[in-house]
Amino acid sequence: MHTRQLMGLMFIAALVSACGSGKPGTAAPGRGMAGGDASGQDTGNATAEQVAAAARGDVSCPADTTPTPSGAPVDDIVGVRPGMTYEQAANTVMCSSPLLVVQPETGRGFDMQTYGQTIRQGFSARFAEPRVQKTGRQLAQEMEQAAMERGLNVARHDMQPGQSKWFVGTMGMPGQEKVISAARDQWFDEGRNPTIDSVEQALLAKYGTPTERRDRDTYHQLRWAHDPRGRLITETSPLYSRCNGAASPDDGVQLSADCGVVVAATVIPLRSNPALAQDLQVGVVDQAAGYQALTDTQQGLQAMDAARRAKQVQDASKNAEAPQL
Amino acid sequence: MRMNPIARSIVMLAGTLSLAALGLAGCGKSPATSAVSGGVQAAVTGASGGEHGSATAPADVGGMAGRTGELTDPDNLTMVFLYYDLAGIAPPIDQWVEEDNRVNYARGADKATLRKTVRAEFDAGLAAVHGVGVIHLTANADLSPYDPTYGEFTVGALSPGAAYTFKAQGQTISLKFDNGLAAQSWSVPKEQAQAIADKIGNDTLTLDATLSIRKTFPGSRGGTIVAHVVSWNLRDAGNGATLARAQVPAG
Repeated sequence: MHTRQLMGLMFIAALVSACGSGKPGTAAPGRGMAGGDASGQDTGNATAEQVAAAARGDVSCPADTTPTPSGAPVDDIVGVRPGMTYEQAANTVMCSSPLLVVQPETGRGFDMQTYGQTIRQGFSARFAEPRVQKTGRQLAQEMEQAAMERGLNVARHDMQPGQSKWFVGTMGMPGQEKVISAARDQWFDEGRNPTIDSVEQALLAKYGTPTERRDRDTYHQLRWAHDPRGRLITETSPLYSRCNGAASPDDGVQLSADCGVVVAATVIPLRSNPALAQDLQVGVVDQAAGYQALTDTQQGLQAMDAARRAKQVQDASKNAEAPQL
Repeated sequence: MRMNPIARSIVMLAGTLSLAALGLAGCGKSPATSAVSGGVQAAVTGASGGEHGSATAPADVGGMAGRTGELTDPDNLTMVFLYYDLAGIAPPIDQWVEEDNRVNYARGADKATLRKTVRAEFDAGLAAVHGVGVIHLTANADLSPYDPTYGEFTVGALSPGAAYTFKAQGQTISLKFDNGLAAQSWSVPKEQAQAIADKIGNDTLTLDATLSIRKTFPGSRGGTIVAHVVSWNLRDAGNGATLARAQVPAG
């Protein structure tokens, strides 16, 4: 007898458009495009507001959110929490800003056997950008500028001050996906940057005493990790270094049945004044619930496929063509 | 034979690509218990007073009632046999027989006889696990240091994320627990914890767990057996001295 370490399954995020039922607190499907689309219907210049309005569809605000149960860890990011349906989460995200557009993202997700089914593994959300018709000359100039910046290794950001972006991870059988993780990055508007201290105090006021905090020159991190019973993990716990979260929407999450809700926050200071905050990233993941959802989904999809195959075999016994020998 | 627990975790990558108390004032004597909060009660060797934590037989889940047979530290092939028996799936014995090296590489004239021999072995193995519903598992306990915040040790070998794999005949069978959260927590009052830690020292602890099989999940090229931890025993891997015994409350 021997054992083998089961390798963690590695994944790629996948995303899907927000589909809505029209119920209060849920999002109806929009175009899901943050900067115009390729359908040919959106032509000509448009403001960010116009682009957002066309892409968001029906959004019901304020979002229908449920408060954290008494005694349970605070686990929401601007109202989005694990356990919400895909539609509830998409609606809640869009309610956080009229310019945010939910968008499918097929480049991320868990690498799992889906047996031909499509499951929505989450969505991202970004600010809509104005649509500007450009001449060939302008496009060429932009490409040249981008090439030069790459050559000079100039830092490039995928959002601007005053904007925010999200990634919400979901899992479940097709049409029944629920949130297992959520992360939001907020880039404070220029000239309106809060102090690092005020941001940290706001985080502590909402999420309570952290499991861990790290203060470095270039970032300040806080982590609130809980075990599957909802108890705060402290530095005396064997889970202290094992239950980690992901603050950035760009980071992947880890799922383990041994860990519960983990909230992670990173505050990035302004280079010109480290006492002020440039960025706030906050993410939450319910690891045990996510692990269970993933396991249940895999088993459900497998059972569905087994049923399909059995039915095909049954049908074949009735009307299949006999081989000609 | 001892097994090592396996921590299972799943990672989503971004981008293109993701237990009861133990009073260890002595050993080998009548068991006693200590206070429990949220974990499992353990009978502590050498302590006095208290009652043994009660264990209730788990309810029949997945039609496992009537399976009273027991296996002790089953090997890989036995677990594969057991999975097929539990899942009610006919094992591909014809294929296994043909793939067996003794048959595969035998001279043509000897194949028929060897097929019978090998098939008889598989048949016997399958028959031996028929009706098995209890597994006695021995593993490295992977006991954590004492956590004074919540007054407990954690038996890592029983954690919710622990899984044991058995591979044979091209099949991989995973053994997991449905009550790992309760089974892993070993609550110990702070006043007893230091004595326990001193007793353990740097020794390795071995876990003997009694598992009641609850259900199975099919998978590709194998499946998962889900078991309920009924009770466990911790002993010193070196001298075999029993340190604690626990009954896990039914859940």
